[in-house]
Amino acid sequence: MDHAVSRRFLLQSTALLLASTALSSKALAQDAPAGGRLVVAADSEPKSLNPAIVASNGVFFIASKVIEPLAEASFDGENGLAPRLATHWEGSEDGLSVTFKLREGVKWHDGKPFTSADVAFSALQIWKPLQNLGRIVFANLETVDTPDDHTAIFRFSKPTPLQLVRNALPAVTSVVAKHIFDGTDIAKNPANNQLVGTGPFKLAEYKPGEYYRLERNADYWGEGQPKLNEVIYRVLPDRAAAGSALEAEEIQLAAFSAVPLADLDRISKVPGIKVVTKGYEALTYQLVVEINHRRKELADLKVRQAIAHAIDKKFVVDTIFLRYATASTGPGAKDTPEFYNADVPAYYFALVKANALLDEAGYARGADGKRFALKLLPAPYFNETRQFGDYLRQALAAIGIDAELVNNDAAAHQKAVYTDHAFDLAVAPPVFRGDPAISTTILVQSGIPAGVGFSNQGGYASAELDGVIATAAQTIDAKARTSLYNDFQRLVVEDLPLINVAEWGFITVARDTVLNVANNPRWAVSNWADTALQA
Amino acid sequence: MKRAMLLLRRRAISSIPVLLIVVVFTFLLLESASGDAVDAYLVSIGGGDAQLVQSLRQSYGLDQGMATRLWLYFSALLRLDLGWSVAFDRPVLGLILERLPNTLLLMGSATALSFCLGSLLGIFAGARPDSFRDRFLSIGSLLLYAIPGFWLGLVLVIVFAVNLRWLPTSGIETIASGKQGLARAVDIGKHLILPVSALGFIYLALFLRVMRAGMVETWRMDFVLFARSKGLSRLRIVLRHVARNALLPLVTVLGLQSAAMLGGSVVIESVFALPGFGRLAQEAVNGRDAPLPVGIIILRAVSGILVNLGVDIAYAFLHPRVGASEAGA
Repeated sequence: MDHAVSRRFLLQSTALLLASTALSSKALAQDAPAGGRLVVAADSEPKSLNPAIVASNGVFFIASKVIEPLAEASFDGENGLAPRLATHWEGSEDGLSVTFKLREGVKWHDGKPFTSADVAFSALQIWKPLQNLGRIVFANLETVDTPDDHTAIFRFSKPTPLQLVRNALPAVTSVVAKHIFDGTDIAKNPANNQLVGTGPFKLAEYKPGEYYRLERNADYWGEGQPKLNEVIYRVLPDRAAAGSALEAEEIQLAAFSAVPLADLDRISKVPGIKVVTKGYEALTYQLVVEINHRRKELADLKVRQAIAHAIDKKFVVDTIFLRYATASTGPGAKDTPEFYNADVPAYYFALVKANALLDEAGYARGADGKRFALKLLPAPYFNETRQFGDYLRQALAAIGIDAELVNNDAAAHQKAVYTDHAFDLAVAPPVFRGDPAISTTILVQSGIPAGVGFSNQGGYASAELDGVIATAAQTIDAKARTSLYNDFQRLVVEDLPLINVAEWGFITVARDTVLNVANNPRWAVSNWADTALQA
Repeated sequence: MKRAMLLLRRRAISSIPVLLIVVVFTFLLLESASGDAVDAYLVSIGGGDAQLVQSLRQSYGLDQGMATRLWLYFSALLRLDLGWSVAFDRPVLGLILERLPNTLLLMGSATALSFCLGSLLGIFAGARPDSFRDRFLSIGSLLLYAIPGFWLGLVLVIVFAVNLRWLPTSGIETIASGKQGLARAVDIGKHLILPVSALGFIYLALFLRVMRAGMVETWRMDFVLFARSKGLSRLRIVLRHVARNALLPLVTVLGLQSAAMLGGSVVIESVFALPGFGRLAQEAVNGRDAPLPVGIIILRAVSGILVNLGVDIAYAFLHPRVGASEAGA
């Protein structure tokens, strides 16, 4: 794995604590104790818990323990995958079909057997037509053949790269039971909240505003799994509450940076608590500046370059993210080495150069030292995106651009940026989901209708970039496809349809008694079958 | 009794336009916020394509005009149907009924605590205006009143839950403990001590100051002088004459507080992870889920009207002049 500088720094700075716990949990991985109740903090209660329909981290955090995908991300597995409901997968030469061998002897929580019919039903009736990400990945899925109970052959109308399907497996292929959803109004089926899955835990109880209780599935297919008897998600909307509850030993784990970055230094010194930065490598969040190219000034590449040169990425990483992040070089995430391309132009922090570029572009400073004014809309979803908005305003002031900050709540921001285009610059935190085709190319691709969130709504259009994206979408050979995405990264950084500033994974804070934490790159949203508690 | 019935009738008639205004105004206020329920939902799931957006708007009924939706809402309301919450995907009435006990428990205990303690301390302070204890209590209560609720809550958690571990940090009861009956009541009580204290100590100042001010006022009255010259004991004057007369404004404040308390407290509910109306309303507004906040506000308006009525009736009993004009009319 590629460890960023900031991660190394962190590992060194808390070396003793981390090293000791990492060693002990590795040694115990095989014969971890069974039993116990793990209580974790949850900050939201998704209205639909069905991961087959809503592929989002908020849903996965809870539902991934109950409903499983065909394969899960893995640090050491082949192609970065570990088998779950599928044991083997193979693509055809022409890219028109993918064959999955399914696990035998798996039962749904209601006792019925899991078969290829469930996979075919999930794929055709849910992932492709209903799921937010599946609609993209499985856009060309035509049929799913089921020659026997444990084989599912996905057939596509246009070549679909196996590499994309593979990378998408953990997020988009949560399998639900055909016998529960078939013939019903899927969107309104009560099983969207009363989950029935094949996973290591069953959803036993939900008390709105208080907790979700998951119970051990005694019939789970994994031998000796799960270790835990119960997993409880306690709803703690206040971020200070998660930290206090950890310290008071009322909860044992807080994932997704539920403990604010500013508290990590203090809480890492509390005996019995560990701060873990691993386990989010496949869910990298990227800090980007979205640009509205309809603005005459911003349509000029020199102006965009000037803005890129005016941003001190080191300051952003050190001060806003307290080093729990890495500076970005472009739209590829460093945590996904399969695609990451470091060979792109670099925009180092240089105010003189930035000012010169703006002068060259013809935007000289006025009598008041200002060149032009624009509207800056930071996304409100994270503390860090708001803080970066404040920073960016100052950074732009240093090069004579007068940015007016417009702060909205989530719904208003979504509408202003992605529907009304009422912004000049916006700060966004898109997610890199293991493959650029899932949710990254959409950030710069042209022709996306207004109203589609987390997409190119800045009016940017480049025939060359669109061409590369379209070709890669149907390139079957993984090597050729990867090289196209290398070009994609270079083109984006050269032409700056948006500016990538930093990227970060979340932080898990756990009691030392929790074993096997962060042992895969999507750990917080994986099934926790081997997670255990030291008695 | 006749006076009470007359009051009741008059209030019932005058409250209908009040409710109407409240509903329309709240609805329009939420409409004027930028972004709708679909925008809010898309943020939580990480976006979706154009068709998904369109089909969501359709299924939420957001493709219809505002006037149509307001009309639909009203006609449902006339059938006593509070509507469907899209943010929670559940009926509004169910959500409200689910959170009502917690809200009443939290806010009721806090109001009762602050009323009892506040009025007692107010009597204590007002018994000897401008004495040391009066000054001390007045300044102390002002200090308490100035403390932000969330800060007091967090400090209480750090001291009593994290450091001393006497009490739980948050929640309404121990999760999935299987406790029943008395054991469960004790458990809930333990969980409520910190949030009720945090809320109660802030309102306490309010009651203390109103009571004290009322008493200072009453001391100047002629009948107090008369009571003194009659040779009544000081304690008897304080309790029977001064405090009782100072009680009227306190009842008014109690009425206001009781009506306000049904809104819950966003801050304390969040800090202590209690599922009440405050958090529900906040989540509903963030989710642009109009029927839910309107439902909560209707409930508040109805209870506000009822509490006001209760206060008026209490007045009538405490003070014979109130409502006399209506009885004569």
